[in-house]
Amino acid sequence: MKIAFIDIQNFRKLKSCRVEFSENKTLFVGANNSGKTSAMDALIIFLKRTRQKDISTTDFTLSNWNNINKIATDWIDNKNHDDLNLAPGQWSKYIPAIDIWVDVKGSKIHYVSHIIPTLDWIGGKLGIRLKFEPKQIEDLYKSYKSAYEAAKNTSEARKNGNHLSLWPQTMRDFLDKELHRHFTINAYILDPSKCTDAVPQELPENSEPLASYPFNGLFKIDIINAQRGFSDPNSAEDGSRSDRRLSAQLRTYFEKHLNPSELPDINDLDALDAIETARTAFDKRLKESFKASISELEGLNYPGFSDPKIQISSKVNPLEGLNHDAAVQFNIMRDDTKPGDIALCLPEKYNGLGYQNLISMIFSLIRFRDEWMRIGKAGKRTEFSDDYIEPLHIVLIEEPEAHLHAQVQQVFIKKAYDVLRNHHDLGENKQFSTQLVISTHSSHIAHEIDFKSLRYFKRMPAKCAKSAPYAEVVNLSSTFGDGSDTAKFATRYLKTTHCDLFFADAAILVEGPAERMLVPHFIKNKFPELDRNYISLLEIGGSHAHRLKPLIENLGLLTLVITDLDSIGKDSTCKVLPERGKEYRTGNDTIRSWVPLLTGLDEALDANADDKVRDSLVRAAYQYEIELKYNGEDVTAIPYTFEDALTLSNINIFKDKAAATGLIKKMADAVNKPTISEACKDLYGALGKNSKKAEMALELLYTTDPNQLEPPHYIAEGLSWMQDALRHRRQDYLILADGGEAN
Amino acid sequence: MTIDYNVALSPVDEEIYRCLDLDNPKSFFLFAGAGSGKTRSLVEVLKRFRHENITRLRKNGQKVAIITYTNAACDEIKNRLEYDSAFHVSTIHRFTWELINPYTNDIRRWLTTNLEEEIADLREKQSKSRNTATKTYIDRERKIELKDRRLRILPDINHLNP
Repeated sequence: MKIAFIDIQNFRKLKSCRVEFSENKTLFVGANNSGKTSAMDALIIFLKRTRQKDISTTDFTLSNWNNINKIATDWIDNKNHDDLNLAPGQWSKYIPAIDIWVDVKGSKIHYVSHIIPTLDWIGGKLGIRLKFEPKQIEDLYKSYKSAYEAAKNTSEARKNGNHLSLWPQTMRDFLDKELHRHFTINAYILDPSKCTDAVPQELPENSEPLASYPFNGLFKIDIINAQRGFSDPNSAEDGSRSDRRLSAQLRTYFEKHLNPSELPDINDLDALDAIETARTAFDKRLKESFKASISELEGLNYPGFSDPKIQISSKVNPLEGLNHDAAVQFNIMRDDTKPGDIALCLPEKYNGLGYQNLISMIFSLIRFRDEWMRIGKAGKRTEFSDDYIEPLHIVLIEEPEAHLHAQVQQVFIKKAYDVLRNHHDLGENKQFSTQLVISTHSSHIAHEIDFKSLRYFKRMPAKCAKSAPYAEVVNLSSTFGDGSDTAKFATRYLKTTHCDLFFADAAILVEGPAERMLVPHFIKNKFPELDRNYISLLEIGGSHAHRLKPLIENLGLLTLVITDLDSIGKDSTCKVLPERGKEYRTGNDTIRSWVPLLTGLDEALDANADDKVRDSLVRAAYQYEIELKYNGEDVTAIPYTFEDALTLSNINIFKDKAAATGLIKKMADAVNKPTISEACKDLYGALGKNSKKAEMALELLYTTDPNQLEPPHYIAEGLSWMQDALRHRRQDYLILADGGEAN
Repeated sequence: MTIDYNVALSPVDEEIYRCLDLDNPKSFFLFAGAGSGKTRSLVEVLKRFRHENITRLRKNGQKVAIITYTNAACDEIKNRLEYDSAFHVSTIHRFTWELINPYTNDIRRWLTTNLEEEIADLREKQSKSRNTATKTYIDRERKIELKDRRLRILPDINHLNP
């Protein structure tokens, strides 16, 4: 049994979105504010029953409040009660709900007999909708109406004309206070035949909620949330928040699974015996120590007490033994320490935060697993009760990367699932399934996990006025089709480069190392607005950039591809110095097969700014004619690659570099030639196969303040397009006119 | 519990116990006179069965169903099994009702077709009888009316009871 997918509706930014679950691990990735945490919270609030009270009015999708308030206004305006609409149906479009679809085999029917829709069901998908809805619409109506009218009458009674807003002004206002009095989570059985529909199905009228929470005994759900509350030795914070420390966790574990005084068995007797002996000895000692003082008290002979004898008896609780700061210590001596040496140990909280975090998380996972499998005393306790082992264990981890450096993150994500399955009844055994869901901001974690497990949360602009921006979830398993070379390439590439595409606002794909080093400086110095965005820079080369096309389009990520013209001969694939009118072609795959989809060199040079943009999402930037002053004359030149374009754009800087070495010297020599065509020829020659372009960029950074470098015109145009596009997008992400505050 | 599982079952009980093998289950029929200890045998064997198999049952989310003829027998067995949750003791009617009870829609669908068939059947009989004044005819007419009414109110019923 496992969760196939969930449909979240009207929960914060997630107006309607489907999240498919992988069999083992599912990873939520996406830029900030894209809805990852909302999806986690929706799962937690709806599935973890103790957290159901945490839902609040701010969890409703903001843009829905207009409509909800409208329902209430209609109630109030309805004077003659003729067509008072108290149908629950009108609410269902606006209230938070989550559809859980589980895959169940026919042989497991005894687990789900209470939620199968009809006896004809033979196995497959089963759906349950959990809806946060009014308990009794009539009650809500009555309470709201009386509260609203009371407020209205009071404020009207005040004659001095000052308008005073009394609670409640709107339904939202009312529910801010009264939400849990009037709302509750109800469960409904869904029709499995409609599970493939694009939009969540509508429930038939008069559908009855299930009498009890349907997932008892089906799921065990555990959460490690982002606020783990580790204590620094110096931090003032203490108490409840610090209970994630190992000692606290060990205590809980001990209490649940090991405590010898509870349901003792043969092995516990020695321990109990020792505790008892210690107690007796301690009591005896106490009695002796207090003998004098107590006999003094006894001598008081207070009237009315027949025999005032005072007994002192201690209690030794094995649990209390773990209840102190130094319960867990870390031995910092080397392993080969001779016995008899004094052990040097430090209490747990002096350990590094990263290590504490890792230990805490892994131990939590161990604890969750052992609770689920009813290890030790937990098993004994339930042996006589009604509860059996749930077939599905869901573990949600929010941002495990906190305080962990990159390598540890990778270790964690590789091990986490194995830890959850490390039990003789689990492992490869299909009888019990574990599904691990992780939300993360870490590219290191994202790259350790198979592409198929990634779910990318995409921010979407508001569709129309008064509606809020929303989020969509992209399942990356289908991006590249199945097992094609492109998929393999993209996966390998993304893994090795550790790029952060999944968390970026926009991406720039560049041709080579020189661009990679210099483009960030161009952005920083010339496009300060762009610099404030989170931009991922990928060095991938024009011949492979187009392979990322499916990914970029799926992610909907604003992308600038800075590439090279790569002019080649009419019939051959030999590189040539770019010239017009010679039927030259371009050898660049991005230009030819992605954007702007041109093969001829002349057409590529003629392409205007609009031609180079595709679907307002991807723009290509490559060299074309550059106009410059050369030795006092206005000339044009067609650069062949980034380095010569850079040289031509900064002729004066390069002219002074004649004393440099390597490629820079060659460039300087070239631009000191008397005519532009000679210069271009020499530049082209210098940038032959064996030129050390990366070294040139390093040398340039070393000798020249990047502030002074002028970006080549094609790059400047590309970057300014991106700056405009991002500004535009940011506008779109805000709610248009009077739709409420931003989410 | 204070049962000593090492005490051997009687040979008959032992034989019964061997039938209750989860990997190789066999049916058996036990008959004997009143008061000869049929229920006692059953209870002894079940206790032993629980002791040996409880972990496996719990892992698979399974229980042992015990079906009796009467509520009295049901209570008796529950009592003797110390109200253990691994056993589901019920009468045949209760057992089957619990199986179908959540499927209101299925029950409604069956009731609808069944009522329609019965009505059609009665109508056909009515059409054949020449005398409309006989008691049979009037009875049938009343039956049709009743069934018709049940059919009409069926869609509005949300909870069906046996």
